[in-house]
Amino acid sequence: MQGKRQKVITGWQLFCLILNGVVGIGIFNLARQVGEVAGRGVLLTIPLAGLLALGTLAGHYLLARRFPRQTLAEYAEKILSPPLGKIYLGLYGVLSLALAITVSRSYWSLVSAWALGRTPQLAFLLPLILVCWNVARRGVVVTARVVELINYGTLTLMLLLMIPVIPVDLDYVRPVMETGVGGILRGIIPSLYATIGFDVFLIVFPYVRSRRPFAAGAAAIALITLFYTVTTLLIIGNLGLELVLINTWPLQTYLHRFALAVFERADIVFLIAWVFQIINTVIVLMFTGMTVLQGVVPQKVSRRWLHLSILVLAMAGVAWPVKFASQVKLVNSLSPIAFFYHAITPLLLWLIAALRGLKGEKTDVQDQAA
Amino acid sequence: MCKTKLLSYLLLVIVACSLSACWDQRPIEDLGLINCVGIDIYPENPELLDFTFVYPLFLEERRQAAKLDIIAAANIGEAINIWERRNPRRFAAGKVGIVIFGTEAAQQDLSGLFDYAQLPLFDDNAYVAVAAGKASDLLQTPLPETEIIATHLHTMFRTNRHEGQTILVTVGKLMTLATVQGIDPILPKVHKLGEDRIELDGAVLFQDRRMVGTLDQNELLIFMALQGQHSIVSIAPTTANTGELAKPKVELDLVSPKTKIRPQLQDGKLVVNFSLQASYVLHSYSSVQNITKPEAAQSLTRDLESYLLIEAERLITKLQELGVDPLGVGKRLRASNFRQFDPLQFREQWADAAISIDVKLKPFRAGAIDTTQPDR
Repeated sequence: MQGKRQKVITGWQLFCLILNGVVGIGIFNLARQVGEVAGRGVLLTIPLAGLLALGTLAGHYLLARRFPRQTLAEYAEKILSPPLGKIYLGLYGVLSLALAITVSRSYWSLVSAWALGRTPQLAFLLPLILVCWNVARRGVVVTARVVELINYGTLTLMLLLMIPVIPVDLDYVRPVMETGVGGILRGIIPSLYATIGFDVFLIVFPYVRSRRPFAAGAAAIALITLFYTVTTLLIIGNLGLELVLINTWPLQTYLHRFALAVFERADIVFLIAWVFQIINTVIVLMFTGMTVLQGVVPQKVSRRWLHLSILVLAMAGVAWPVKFASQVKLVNSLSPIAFFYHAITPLLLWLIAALRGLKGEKTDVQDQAA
Repeated sequence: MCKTKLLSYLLLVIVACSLSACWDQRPIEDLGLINCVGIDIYPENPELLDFTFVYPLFLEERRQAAKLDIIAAANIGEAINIWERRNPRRFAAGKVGIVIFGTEAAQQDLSGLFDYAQLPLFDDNAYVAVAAGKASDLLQTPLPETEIIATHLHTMFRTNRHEGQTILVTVGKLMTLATVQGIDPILPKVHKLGEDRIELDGAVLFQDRRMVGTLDQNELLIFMALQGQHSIVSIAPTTANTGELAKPKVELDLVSPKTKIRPQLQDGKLVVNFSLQASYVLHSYSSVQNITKPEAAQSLTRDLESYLLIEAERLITKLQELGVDPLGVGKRLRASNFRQFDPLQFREQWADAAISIDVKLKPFRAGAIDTTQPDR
């Protein structure tokens, strides 16, 4: 199976997968969540968190480079032994799916409160999940191409959001050292939660034909960090930190203030356009979850059944009635677990593999054939 | 293939059923597109507020008019809920473009609006003002030009701002000003002129969210200059020519004024320096001095600077006496030297602050100057 693996992902597609796996729902309340801890120091905290995310990605790269022809689902068992590896991967896959469900539901909470108060939850979420599942189940090529296609829209939106069209008062932003070094460092943890999702790097690494996959990943992380920092600066510079802290979705409130004679309600327009980005994020998370779970279930279980089970699970996840307060609690609990599992545990795997001297195969049938 | 087609049709049906336009469309006459909200104290119970909802109505002869509903509630969200219950098959999703507080409501608190102002229903770009008297009275003014008072007020606000005669404060800006430490809100004041006229005149000052005083129109124009907003300042508007340069008949347009506010604590006392720099355009000038001569122009500029300095000092003294900081001195102090800023002590420090003001004007342009007068 490994010998038949083709390098079908370009460096650009890897960049798109990482960017779209990370940027999703977090941007709507990042300024508040980090601002609660770091105050105006949020503008230093986010770049620092970006640097840490970059370091984590470097760790992922080291792990992936040890097993250049295999995905995480294949070498985790080798590193941890089969039973432990299966448990690890099972949890990994379930967490990815849980994140996909959480992202969809969180976006629905926002959409419902902001614009579609009378639309049934399922009318919005079921088609969304169905579309994402249908893309993710078709494998790495379709996933990468769909994500790449939607990514052009994402990049446009990100660029537009970084333009300071609404006046900014820098006095609202300063002083950035208000909470001291301690506050800034404490803010790094919630900032890192907004970078969950770049672990798709470990899943698609063997398919990447770029000679510099790390550079593609690093560029994505750098752009994400820049995007988060600039939008947070604009949001706090316009609303003021005190107002940001009592806002559920500061980004929407910020966009709500934009109005031209011929263009109003940028918040609603953005909400509609961002649906595609949410689809992209859910696709990447679902793809990660599906790929990892495929490595756990026995070979005799049909892929079709596995995919259908995942669909049923995901639909049940988005259909289950959860109140907004419980949803917030769920996200708050899931974020640290997911960050630890998806970002930190691969570093531990790399450490164990290095200590045990484990490495993947150095030859590849495709390479030889080429 | 067949299954795929079936799935596609099923998906199409689901999407079609989910579209609101298919089964939820209503004619505009049935919708409550609220475009103006007035907020007063409820006379029977001062704990509650009277919310006046103004929404357009199509009359039988296809003429547009406005309808007013007054609802007593604790906050705007509750008022909307009550209004929706009273108006079945309607919903209050409109574009609120104007919010007017009655004087008593503003003196009590602005919280009735803030509690639910995060609702997307409320346009953050709606203009806010305080009415002299009750907001509901103002909103019922029979205007001769139009029956849609919201449109009239909206145009009036924008025109006055464009002409440098008033400040524009939106709901969003008001929320920021009332929430951020180190700055107090200020809102334009609007009042009825006779039976069927409405006029913007001066401004209302707030301490946090409570109205504590007013500025007259001249004070507001000086305030706008200090705030760095384009304003048209009228000095000694007389009807005849005067011979003294210190009291000429002058109307000047302050173009791109820039004010630097430098506060700092010196031995526990707040010292604030205001430095106002602006170019000016003479709109109207009447004096025996010929200002085409450089010496006269410089002399006039110095006199104007003196005038602005005196007026600015008066204004700031008034703000200190009222204990309000709409210029954001506290915000500047926190931004430039946050260790010196104590939000609990700042009002006292501001009230006792030593103020120094520098005004620097630069002539930018004058209109046509008539040099044929015999006096010249």
